[in-house]
Amino acid sequence: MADRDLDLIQGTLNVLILKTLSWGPMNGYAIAQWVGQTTDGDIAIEEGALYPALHRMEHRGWVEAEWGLSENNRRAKYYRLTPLGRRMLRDRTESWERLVAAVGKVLQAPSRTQTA
Amino acid sequence: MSPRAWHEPPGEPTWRRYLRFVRPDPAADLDDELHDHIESTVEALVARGLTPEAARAEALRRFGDLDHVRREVRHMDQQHHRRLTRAAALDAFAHDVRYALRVLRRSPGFTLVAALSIALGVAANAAVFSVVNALLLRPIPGTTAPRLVRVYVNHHSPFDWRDLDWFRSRARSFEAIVGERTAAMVMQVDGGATERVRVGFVTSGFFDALGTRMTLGHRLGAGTGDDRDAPPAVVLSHRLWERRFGADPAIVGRTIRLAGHPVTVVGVAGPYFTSSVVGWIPDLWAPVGLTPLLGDAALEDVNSLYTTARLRPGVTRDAAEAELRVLTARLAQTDTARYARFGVRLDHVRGVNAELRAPVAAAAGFLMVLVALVLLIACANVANLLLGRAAARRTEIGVRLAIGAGRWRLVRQLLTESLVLAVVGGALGFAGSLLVTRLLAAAVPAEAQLEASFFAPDGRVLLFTGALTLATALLFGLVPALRASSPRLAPLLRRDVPSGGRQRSRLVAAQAALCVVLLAVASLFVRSLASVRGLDPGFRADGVIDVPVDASLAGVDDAAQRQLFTQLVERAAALPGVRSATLAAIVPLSGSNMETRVLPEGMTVASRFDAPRTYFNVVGPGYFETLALPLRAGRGFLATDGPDAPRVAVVSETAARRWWPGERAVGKRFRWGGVDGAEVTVVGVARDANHKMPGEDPLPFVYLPHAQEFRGEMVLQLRAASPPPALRDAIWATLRELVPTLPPPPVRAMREDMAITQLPVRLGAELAGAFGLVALLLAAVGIYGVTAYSVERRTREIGIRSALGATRQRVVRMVVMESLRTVLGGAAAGLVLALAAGLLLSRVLYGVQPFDPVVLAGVPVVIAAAAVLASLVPARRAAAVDPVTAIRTE
Repeated sequence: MADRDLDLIQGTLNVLILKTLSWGPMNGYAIAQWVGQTTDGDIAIEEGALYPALHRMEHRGWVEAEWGLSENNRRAKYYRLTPLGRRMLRDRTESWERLVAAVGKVLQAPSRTQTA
Repeated sequence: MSPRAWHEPPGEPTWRRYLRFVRPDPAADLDDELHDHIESTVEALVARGLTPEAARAEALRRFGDLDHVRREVRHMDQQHHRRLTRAAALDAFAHDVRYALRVLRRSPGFTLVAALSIALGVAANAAVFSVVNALLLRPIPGTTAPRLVRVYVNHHSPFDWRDLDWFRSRARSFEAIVGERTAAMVMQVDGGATERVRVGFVTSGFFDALGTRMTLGHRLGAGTGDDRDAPPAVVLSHRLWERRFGADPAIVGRTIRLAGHPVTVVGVAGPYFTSSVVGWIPDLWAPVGLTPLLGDAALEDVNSLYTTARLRPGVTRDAAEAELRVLTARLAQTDTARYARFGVRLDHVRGVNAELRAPVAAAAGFLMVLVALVLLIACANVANLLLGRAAARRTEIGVRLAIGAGRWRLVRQLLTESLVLAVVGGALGFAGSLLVTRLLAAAVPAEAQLEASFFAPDGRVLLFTGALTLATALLFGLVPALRASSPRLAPLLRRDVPSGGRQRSRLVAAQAALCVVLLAVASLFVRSLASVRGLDPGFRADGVIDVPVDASLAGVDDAAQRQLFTQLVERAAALPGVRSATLAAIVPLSGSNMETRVLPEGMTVASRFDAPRTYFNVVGPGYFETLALPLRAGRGFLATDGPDAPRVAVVSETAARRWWPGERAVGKRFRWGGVDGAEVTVVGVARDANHKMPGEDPLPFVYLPHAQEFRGEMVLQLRAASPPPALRDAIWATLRELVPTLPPPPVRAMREDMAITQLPVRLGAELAGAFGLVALLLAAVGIYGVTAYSVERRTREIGIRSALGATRQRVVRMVVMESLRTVLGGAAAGLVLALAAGLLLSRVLYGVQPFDPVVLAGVPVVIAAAAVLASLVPARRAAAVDPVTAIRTE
């Protein structure tokens, strides 16, 4: 069961990153910032999970990276979606929404004592 | 630093670009990426008013375990990179193979000649290695037990049963110690005709110790582990089961008769198991405990048990041998006379028994060298063809180099072509070797009873052939590949660049040299075979007819069998055309030998192992007259040397000289069979004769009268004026009158029986001859290729010569002489090698000098003739060139 939870969390992280990158190329820091600001700080992506996820998606060909210079002249690695990544984002979004709807139905079902 | 630009040519798989991405320095890239993250956090915090130091500390705290993240991502990247590299290599290889197949299909003539050259070389090597494997490397076929060792007494001698029993009950280093000996016996099934079978007598637990695979039933049980209470049970060989019982699945539980006694079949051994000793092929196995019942020896007197043992797990051979030494010392105290100088040795169980290993290894080594030469010639041939092709493909390769293909890339491509060629040739060659080993097994005389599967390849042969094929590809492919891709030549896309001509000539010269060696060795063997046939063996074999007669199959007792033999000899001698008749246990030079120890009168020995050994034969009256083997002193055997008369013997001149130097041998006595044997008196001395091998050094030899050393299985030998077929019916009729139930035996010339001892020389001659011819053929193809190429290259020059008035004849002579010069240069070098080979072989060759003038003169002539023939075709083509077109073509 623990593994399934992990899968769910990782899948969620992946879809968050993909969605973030659909706005344009970003480095890891910007991705974390963007997610944090969009959710008003409700979701804070941990760096310990972010970078493995980014590299894994890069290996799978969902995102590709390009080196550039940051405003302060540092080497920075900018990730952007590949066509495959875009498709993955669509798929994952749909299944995420289905999951949320399903979980919602379960949680909002009337309790047993009430139906009796 | 600027962003890296990446431009990819179209058609490259997308993932390839990631290779470049990862390749430069993934570790540094990752550090930069994480550094950027930390610094971005610091900047944000500073903007919110923290001091830089506090901001950095906070950024690091927020990031968490930086080292851990770095290690994890690094590991992921590395694994990914490795996967990509592997896939890329595989992809490139598959691409190269496809390309190679395309290229090879485009020139079928080249591909065919090259693949066949390799196939010939590989076939010869795989076949000879199959033989080496069967005779020297393979553990006992058809068994599964690990940690088997052979146990010998002193140097390669088998055990007596009581010694084996003594060690087996005491030695702790072994899980089992078992022995096997063979003896001929009479078998009868369902009251039908009797027949002779070879029985392997085995000690208890024999099959379990070896882990023999069984086709049916179970192994002879170990029972109490005591040979004395062995059940009357037998295990059939797979062969006998198929041949005699039609592979009857219900055979287990049936009763057959062995030497008249009922025994029950309890199982059938697997098809590959023949014996614990390579070369033995028993028809069935019985417990050694049945010897007293079936034979005439008490168990305590059983000897000649070839002994195999299984080490306990974790016990080394040295440790086991050390234990055996300690035990031997204890054993020696029980009987100091018997066990003086008694030692026990362990040896591995691969291939033939240790006493045969040296000669077999020498013969095998010789054959391996011969076939290695054939393979080298084949490789030279293919290299030659490849060099020629490289010249032809210069434009293609030049263009590829010019548009930026790396040299390594090209070498890899060309080597892949060689590899594909080698694999095709190697597969063909392996198939060919199966055929060759079948022919070889068939060439061995039927008496050896070799299974067709004896030389069948196993994993070891496959591995050898595979490795050989790879080595071959490198051997013939590397130099041409390096040469063809040489950047020095690449820019020169012009057509008239000289390329590889000299190397190709050198290769042809080398081929000629190797070819001379092979042909010279083959000729030496052929001449040796001729002189072996002309050797005087000491007796006259021409006009002697052999008829093997097995009186023990008649189902009567010894006295009746003696009577039968006496009558048979009398009647056979009276047949028309027969001058004399006699009996012999073995035919000299037929491959069978009997050996024992004797103690001559007047000689003292320190132990029973020091008593001299001698070969012997058991013969009837009239033997020396029938074989025309002259007696130097005394007399031959008479009818009066009967079973109850004093024991007598005839010895050879060498025996007489060695045992009683300077004395008269007639009248001397010796003990027969060893220090405690019966006393026998010498009544005659016979001329030395060849018994084991033609042309051997004279051996001590003893003849015993059949009446005093009875055997049921003898050979009737007749000196006759008529050939065997003319006498056959008369002999069969005589036999039928005497014993109606006896199956008619073969009637054949003694020369036929003697053929087997000429086998090593004959096989040597045939194999070396065949390899020599193959070599000659390969060399001729090489010469043809080089000449044709050089003629083509010089079309213009030849055209000019013709235009200047050279006749066609002169052009032909010029071309032929050129290739002849190359070949003769190589042949001269080959002759030197051939001389060395001849010296090495001088011990095997009879009556031939390694410096045989006929061979030394003849072989270069043959090579030269082949060179002339092979270059004649291209030479004539050159001469036919029209000068005008020739000059215009360039």
